[in-house]
Amino acid sequence: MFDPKIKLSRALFEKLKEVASTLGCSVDEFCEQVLEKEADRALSKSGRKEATAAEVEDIANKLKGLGYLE
Amino acid sequence: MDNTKRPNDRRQRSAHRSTLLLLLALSTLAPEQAYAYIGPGAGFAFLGSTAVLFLTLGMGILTLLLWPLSWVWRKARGKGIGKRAKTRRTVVVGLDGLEPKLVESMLEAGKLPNLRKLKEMGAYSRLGTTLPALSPVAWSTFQTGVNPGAHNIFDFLTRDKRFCLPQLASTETTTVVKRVLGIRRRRSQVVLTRKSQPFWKILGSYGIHSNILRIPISYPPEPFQGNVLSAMCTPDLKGTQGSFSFFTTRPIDTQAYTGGEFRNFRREQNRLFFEVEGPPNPNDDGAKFVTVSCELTLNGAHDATLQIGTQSYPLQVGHFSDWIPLEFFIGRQTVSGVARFLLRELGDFVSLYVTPVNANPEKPALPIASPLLFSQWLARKVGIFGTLGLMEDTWGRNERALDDHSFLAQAYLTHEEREKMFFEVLERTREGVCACVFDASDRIQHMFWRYMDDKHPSPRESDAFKDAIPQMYERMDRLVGRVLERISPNDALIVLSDHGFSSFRRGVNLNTWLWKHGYLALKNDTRTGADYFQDIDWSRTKAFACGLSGIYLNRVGREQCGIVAPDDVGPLKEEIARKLEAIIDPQDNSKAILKMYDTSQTYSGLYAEEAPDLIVGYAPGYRVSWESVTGLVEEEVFSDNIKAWSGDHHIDPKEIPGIFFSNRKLHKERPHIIDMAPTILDLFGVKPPRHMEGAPVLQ
Repeated sequence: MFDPKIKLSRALFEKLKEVASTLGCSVDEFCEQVLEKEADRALSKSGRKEATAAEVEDIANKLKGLGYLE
Repeated sequence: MDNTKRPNDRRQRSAHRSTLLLLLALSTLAPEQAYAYIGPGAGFAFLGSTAVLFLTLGMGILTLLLWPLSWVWRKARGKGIGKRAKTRRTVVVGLDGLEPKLVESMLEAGKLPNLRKLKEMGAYSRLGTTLPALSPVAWSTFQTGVNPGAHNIFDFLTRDKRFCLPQLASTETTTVVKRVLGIRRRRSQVVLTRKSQPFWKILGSYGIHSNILRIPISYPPEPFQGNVLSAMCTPDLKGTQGSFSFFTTRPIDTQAYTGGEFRNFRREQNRLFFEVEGPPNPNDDGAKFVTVSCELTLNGAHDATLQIGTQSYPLQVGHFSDWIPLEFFIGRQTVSGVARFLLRELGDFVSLYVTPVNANPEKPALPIASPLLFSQWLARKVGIFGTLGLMEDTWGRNERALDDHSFLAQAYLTHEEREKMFFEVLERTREGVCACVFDASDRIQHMFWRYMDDKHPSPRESDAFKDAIPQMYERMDRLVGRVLERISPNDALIVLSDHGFSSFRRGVNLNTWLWKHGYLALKNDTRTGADYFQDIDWSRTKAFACGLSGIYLNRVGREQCGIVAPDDVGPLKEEIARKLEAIIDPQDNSKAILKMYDTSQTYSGLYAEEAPDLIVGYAPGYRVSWESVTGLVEEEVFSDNIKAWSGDHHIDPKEIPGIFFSNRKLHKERPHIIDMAPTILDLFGVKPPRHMEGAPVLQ
């Protein structure tokens, strides 16, 4: 309900609005996707390279029972 | 429509809209709903029965008080169905996976009289499907009228870019830390990752109401002006996609079973004791799941009594029970689930199958509907129903916890439930959209295709199931007949399938192929048989296959351990695609792959870069192997599919279109599923937004 907000200049906001409307998404969605991609790119240069056994088990549990995979 | 009934209808419509607006407002004001139970480690959003009663009463009073205000507000905004509308009500019946070749031959043979009637009233055509021809992808395109690059669903699975682990494509779990009165609280949140706008949300913004039942990729449901009951990928209470339990007095193999648990009863003469597992246990006391204790008393050769708490339920061999409530206690909270029980055998040995524990629609512990009260309203109208995304227990059948007969019985029980809720909602949809997807058609074809394909390597149980698929088509035809009886010529009716069906005889392990051709490397160059990509040496791997149809390159700057530089992406894709298009099955020298698709040429939109780099268009009879989906590397690339799951639809989409019927005439020769959202908007006189890629197809 009260998610964090960031400030943008009016000019940039108008530009984003135009791009977002042609893509069929909101300005919020457009910004989130672009920022997330960049954040992933930055984070990919650091951090753990392997998942823990608990993380693998958690994923296996979530997918359990999905007919298309074993 | 009878004009004398109009004023009364209008009043009912207005009251209905007011109720729904209120439901919507209340649901958006209740933040707990967004932070529901979603799996291990997650919290619960539990709505107790007292709270439900209170809310329902309060809502009724508020509806009465606010109705005049809402009427004035609506009139002032000039919203609703306009003069350009071609219909005031559109009914959409989705029959997942209905195959055009079968439909056409059965139409010809006069076995589908209602679909024939519909064709004669309006139109029939094959319906183009998405790349890949998978339900999550195709139904997402159906909803939004955009290609996968714009709605972000490319498969059942995607890969986590950090560790390249497979994960569900349609939902994402995030942990949010919030500070309330200075106290930090961590809460898990499940988010729908399907992007763009479904047509029902756009119609809602024009004041046109929709009732959306079980259209895949709607979990968790998004609020809009209307009601939605979520479908595919809604988990069970354990947080899985459906885990059955099988209790038996027979000795149990020590092997690991997929999709469920096999356990022995604890026996005391003719009383058998067992525990049904429910939600993950948040307490650190050694137990992984919270359980409910059950007792089975054997009464004779054919029946037994199930005792849960103070309640008793009679069980008969070979007959599914009704939905039985199961209350799981976590501290002072109660999480309510429902399951069906099936006594499989009662004699020298006793065996009992228990369905995955579904969230109880009367007291939903998961966000299965929007507004949340919609599932409770439905349950009161039609009785308790299953809420799991994939209700038909295909793994239960693969692992022989169910036989063909009991699997079919379960599929039709689910179908009957779906019909009941659909006709209940259709009756109350005086205008706007009423849409429902029926899945039995897809699941029955997955499991019974071996009875239609003499060359299939999977064993058959009995010739009695030879006609299981044609009989299912006839049943779907009767469903269409019942819909035709309930609609007027002014209504628009669309009957469609998202893709067709084909045999799945041979599996292709793409990860094994990539390993054998030097694109994928193993740790110490050794295969240990570990699943979930645990054998992979990412520092030397250029490409890997994840999910049902995609190959990803391990790209620098995208995957955490990426090694493929941007300049090498194009040539590497071309090289892999060229080699895979030439792949030959050594068993009979057949071509296994018809075409490799470069997604940078096929998809467009904000999410196009999230797609697999290549998508495989298999030849009929082939599919990705079971082991390859989650990253297991084997010795051989090709293998026979000997599972009961014997039909599939992952082949080249050009080979596997769906079907399209309507009581309106078509003005386009080859409609595509991407045209459906703009078509429905156009029927209501709403101009499709410019980001939609399809076009209206009905006159």
